[in-house]
Amino acid sequence: MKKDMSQGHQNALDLAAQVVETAKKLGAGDALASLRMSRGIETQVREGKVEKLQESQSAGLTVHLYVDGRYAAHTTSDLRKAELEAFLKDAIGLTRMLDADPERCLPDASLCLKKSAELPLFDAKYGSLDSDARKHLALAAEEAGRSDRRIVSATANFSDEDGTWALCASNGIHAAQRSTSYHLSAEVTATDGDKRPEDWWYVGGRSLADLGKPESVGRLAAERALTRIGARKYASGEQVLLVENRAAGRLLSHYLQALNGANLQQKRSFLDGQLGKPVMSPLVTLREEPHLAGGLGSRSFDREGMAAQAFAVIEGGVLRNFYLDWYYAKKLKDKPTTGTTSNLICTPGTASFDKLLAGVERGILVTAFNGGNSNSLTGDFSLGIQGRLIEKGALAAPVTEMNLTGNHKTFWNKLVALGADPYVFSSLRLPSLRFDGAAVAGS
Amino acid sequence: MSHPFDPFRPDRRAFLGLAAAGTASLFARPVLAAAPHAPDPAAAAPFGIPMADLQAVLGVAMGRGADFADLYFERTRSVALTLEDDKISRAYASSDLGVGVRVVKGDAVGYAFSEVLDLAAMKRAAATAAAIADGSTKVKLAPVAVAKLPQFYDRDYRFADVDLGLKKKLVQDVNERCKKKDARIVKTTVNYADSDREVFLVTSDGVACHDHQPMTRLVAMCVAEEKGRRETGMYNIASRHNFDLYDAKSVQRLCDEAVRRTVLMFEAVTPKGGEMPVVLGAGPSGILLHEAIGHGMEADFNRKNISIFATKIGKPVAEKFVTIVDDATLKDARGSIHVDDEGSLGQRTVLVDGGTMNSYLHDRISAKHYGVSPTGNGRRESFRFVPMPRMRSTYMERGPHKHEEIIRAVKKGIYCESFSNGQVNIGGGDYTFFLKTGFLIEDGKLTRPIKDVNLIGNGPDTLSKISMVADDLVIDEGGWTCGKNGQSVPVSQGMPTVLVKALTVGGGA
Repeated sequence: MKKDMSQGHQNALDLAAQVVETAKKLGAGDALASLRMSRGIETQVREGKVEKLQESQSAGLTVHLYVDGRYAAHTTSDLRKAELEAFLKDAIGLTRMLDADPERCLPDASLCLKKSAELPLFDAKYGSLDSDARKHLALAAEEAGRSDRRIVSATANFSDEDGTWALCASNGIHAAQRSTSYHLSAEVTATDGDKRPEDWWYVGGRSLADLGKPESVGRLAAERALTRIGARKYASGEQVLLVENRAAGRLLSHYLQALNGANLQQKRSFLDGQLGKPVMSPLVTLREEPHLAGGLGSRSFDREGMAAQAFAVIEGGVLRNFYLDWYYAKKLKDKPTTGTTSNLICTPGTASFDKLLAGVERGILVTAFNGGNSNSLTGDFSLGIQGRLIEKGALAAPVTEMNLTGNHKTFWNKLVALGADPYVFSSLRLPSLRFDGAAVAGS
Repeated sequence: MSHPFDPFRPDRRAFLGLAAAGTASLFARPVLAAAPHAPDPAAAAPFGIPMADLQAVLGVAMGRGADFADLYFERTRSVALTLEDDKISRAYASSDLGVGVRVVKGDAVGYAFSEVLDLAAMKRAAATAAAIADGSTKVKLAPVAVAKLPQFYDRDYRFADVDLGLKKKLVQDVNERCKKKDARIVKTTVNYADSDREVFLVTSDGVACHDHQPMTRLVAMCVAEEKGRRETGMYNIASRHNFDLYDAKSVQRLCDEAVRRTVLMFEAVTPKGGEMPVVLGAGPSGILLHEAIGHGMEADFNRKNISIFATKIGKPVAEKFVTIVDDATLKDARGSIHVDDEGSLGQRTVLVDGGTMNSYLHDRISAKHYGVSPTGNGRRESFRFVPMPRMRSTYMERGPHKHEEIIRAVKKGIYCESFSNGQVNIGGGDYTFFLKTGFLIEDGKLTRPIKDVNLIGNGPDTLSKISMVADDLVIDEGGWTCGKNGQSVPVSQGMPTVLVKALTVGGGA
């Protein structure tokens, strides 16, 4: 098979269907084939010149096999017909050697998409972008990033991708989705003695128009890098923390580990037994919104082929749903939702960022987290933070080399205000968040 | 759980985790250990591609007046087994094959790859990559000579030849031993993985290298329950050694450690946060070197003047007993490579020599920029990626002090035993690493266990605050994976017991 995007959906769907049929013929009881084809171009510029130009054209097949009550997933990039048949034979042989597990089976057909109901995630204008246009977008961002003599380096990266994902299974699943995405980012480094403080800005979306003016990407990265000059740590203590919208997703992503079905079933979740109970400040509502127009995580079906559905995860601080895929839901004797997030939307507050800021007498604005981790079983977390001091409602000196430490079970109750500024360049859309009484360690 | 926003993030910060003109002669040629031998041009090269076809593809790659081009063929087969709830009810197997074509003109790189190895597809990829250059100069290709590689692991070994039944038995054995070890263990997860990677590189300046890189890893993770309270812990072993790695001794050690680290947590507390002396235990503490200095010494960041170490070569940065190396030659280490992914032989590179900053970690592009020989650090995740300077096994050499002496020297501080991940800001120099297990030090003695806190420091500042180094160097046997610019590569790290006078430890206010 030629790996050509122009052959589009039908070929991907046909091939996936053929793989399922062949797997059945070779002895698999059930099979689900997931085929992804994509073509992407990345243009990176620095000092007014192209530094890297990469074209990626790729196709990958993963087949999930259910053989005599046993399960395994197998991946290959070699889609030639004869090779595929040999691949499936080996895959079925390996699967047969595992332990039987009655819970391993395809999702109930009633939960699955049988016909491809496509979301509008494909930009019909995709093909009109040529290499000069890509270069000019990146160069405009990069040039705007070199706006100050204290800046030693600016790099801008523009990338776009056209991809198709086809899913077919022996229980009747037959679905495909074509989608495009565009990404523009700038990274800017300033000089500060021996130090080279850095920051970045990023925009992305399903169509080019979502990106706005490329110059503003470079300008924002530069402004942020310049504010990092002179950053240092300050005294340890309890602080008011304002977590900027762009950083808030990282904080929440650790919490999400405890909502994951595998962690729940394996007794590695601090949220075990908390369904229907308040787990966060009543100000927090988080909803899973898979059909969001133009969302970076939008989808009409999930990895297992289950039809995507909207649901509440946290509603007014109360835990409403876990992320349960078909397998772990069966093991937990519960109803499945989905195993992974699509778009997770936090209902924003009413105060603008400036108003949130003005309300803080003394505290720290967190603009980024540096490393750190979280324990999904106990809820303990500890993350490096950087940002700005807040004094009398205004941004003051830059902060770095400090740690925020807490426990998710109590920390989210310290949330006292949400901004009206959801971060749209992520599938986790959170506004800026204010926490009172956060434990911050420094000097 | 996957978070699709992550891949979209621009992120120069690098992280580490367990569980990323005209003529070719301007480039320093890779250092070859032994005389290369010229192959018969009519014969098929590895991957069944005739030598003449390789030359034809390179000809297209160089066709627009590039300085240099290479073709990187890769075939990787891997398998992973997972045991949960006493059953091996999940396996992942994958096979991947392709060729990456890189074209270099000055500091600029054009790149494309093909997952199909026929001549037409390879030429198409070469023409795409060649677009980075815009001339039409005909470049004469050097005759290809295949390099003889050193031996740091067994390149003739294939994990694919090991009976799957043996791998299953190993996984079940780990499960049984963990459960038997302590009645409080309520869940065990065991992961086994292995891979056989074959690579063949051929360059426009006549270098060819062919290697096989075996790899394996075994992980045990436990959950224990006591009086309604649960805790979790893990341990893992990773290596390029053959399947005999898993003998009775190492398997028992894996289980003992996984269980000990789990039940220890019942006693553990979160320390009070702030700046304090930190003793780094021998072995996994090499994570400090990886984050505090290793990434900042990767020459691509310095070439662009965006690393905090950009002006430090030849300058004193630490006490005279501090020597830090990055080494491709450790026997069977996860981070060892016979040859890097652009044809420079595996070697030992001294980053800090007796307290003085000595050398960056170079790939071919940075070595040319600085006018030095490549150090064999040009690595890539797979044929889908460009190579760039990456670490291999990073560790500190032995020092003059004793382990006990170092702990005795601390009145109030912490002792670090194991970690899960770390990260660094290349330019600002701020780095972090996350402690999973450790102990408080009170009046020169280890007292209560501590857990789950982030440590944060600044690279050059930390180097200058290393005040004692013991003689007990351990290379950690765990499987570390390093991420940079979206590419992951396997690495190792090691450390003797070390005292850092002050680091900021996360914790309660």
